[in-house]
Amino acid sequence: MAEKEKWGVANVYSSFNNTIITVTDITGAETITQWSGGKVVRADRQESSPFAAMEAATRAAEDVKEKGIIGLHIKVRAPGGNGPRTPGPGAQATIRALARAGIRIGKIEDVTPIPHDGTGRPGGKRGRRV
Amino acid sequence: MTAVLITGTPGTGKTTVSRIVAEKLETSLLAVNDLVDEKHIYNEIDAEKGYKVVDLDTLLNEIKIIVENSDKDHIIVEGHLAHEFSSDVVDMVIVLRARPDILRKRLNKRGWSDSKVYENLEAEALDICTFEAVEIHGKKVNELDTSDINVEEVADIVIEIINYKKHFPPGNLNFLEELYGI
Ligand SMILES: Nc1ncnc2c1ncn2[C@@H]1O[C@H](COP(=O)(O)OP(=O)(O)O)[C@@H](O)[C@H]1O
Ligand SMILES: [Mg+2]
Repeated sequence: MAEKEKWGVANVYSSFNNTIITVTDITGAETITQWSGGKVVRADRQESSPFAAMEAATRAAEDVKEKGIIGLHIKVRAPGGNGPRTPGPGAQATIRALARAGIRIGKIEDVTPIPHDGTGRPGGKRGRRV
Repeated sequence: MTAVLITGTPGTGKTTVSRIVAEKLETSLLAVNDLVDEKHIYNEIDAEKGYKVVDLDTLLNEIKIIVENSDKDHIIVEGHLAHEFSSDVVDMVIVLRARPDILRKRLNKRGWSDSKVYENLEAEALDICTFEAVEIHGKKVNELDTSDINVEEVADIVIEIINYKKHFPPGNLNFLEELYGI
C-alpha cells in the first residue's frame, strides 16, 4: 500500500459574472491556491464565461498536483445555471475541468447561501444540486 | 392593476426605498415580511439560522389575493422573496444591490450572529436574488447598485424605472472578488 493519499477541498463560487475557485487542505485551515475567472482572462466580459471558469480550474489543478494532492472534495456555491436544478455554468465547467486535469473528484456538496432576515425560504428544497 | 416587485438581499434598502416610492407615487405597498408575520405564513423556525421558514405556496397565494384586491391601480411588493411572485400583472422586478463591505456595516447593526451576516453577504456576492428573479421574470428584471447613492436617490431612480424612463439589465455587477479576497 502506497503512502496515504492526500485530498483537499475546492470551494467553487459562481455568480452571474465570475467564478472563483479556492482550494484548501482537508481541514479548511490552509489555503493552497485561489483562482478567479477575472484573473485568467483579460476582458471583463469574458470572466463569466465557462471558458474562464475552466481556465481558472486548470490553473488551480496544476497548483494542487504540485502539492501532491490527488483528489478534491467540492463545495459549490452557485445560485443559477441553465435551469432551476443546475448551478451556474461556471460551477459545472470548473468541476469538469478539474476532473479533466486528472484530479479525482470526491464528495460534491451544495452550500449555496440563502438570503434571510426574520424570514427565509426553506433550505435545500429548491433542488439546488450539482 | 399592475405590480412592481422590489427584491434584494436583506439590508439593501428595500423597505426604506419602497416606502418613499409608494408615498411619492401614491401606490399601495405590501411588505412581504410583515405579511408572513401577520398571517403566520411559516411552518417552523430555523433554530440555527434564526428565521421563520416561509411556506412559499401559501405566501404566493396570499400575495396574489392582496394584489388582486388592492384598491389602488398600482402596488409595490417588497421583500427578499417578492420576486417569487409570478403573474401577468407584474410590470417589473427591481433588484436592489449593495457592495458586501457596505452591506456588512448595515447588517452588523441588526445584532445578528456573524454567521447570519456572512451568509447574507455571500448571497449578495453570488447574485442570488438576481439569479432567482431572472429565472422567474426574465427581461422584466432590473438590477440597481445602490452602493454609492442615498435612499432618496435610489427612490428617484426606482421611480424612473417604474415609469419606463430607465432600464438596468441584470448581470453588470461583480461583488465576488471583493468578498472572497481575490
Ligand atoms: N442607499 C442607502 N444609503 C444609505 N443607507 C441606506 C441605503 N439604503 C438603505 N439604507 C439603510 O440601510 C438599512 C437597511 O435598510 P432596509 O430598508 O431595512 O433594508 P431591507 O428592507 O432591504 O432589509 C436602513 O438603516 C436604511 O436606512
Ligand atoms: Mg426590509
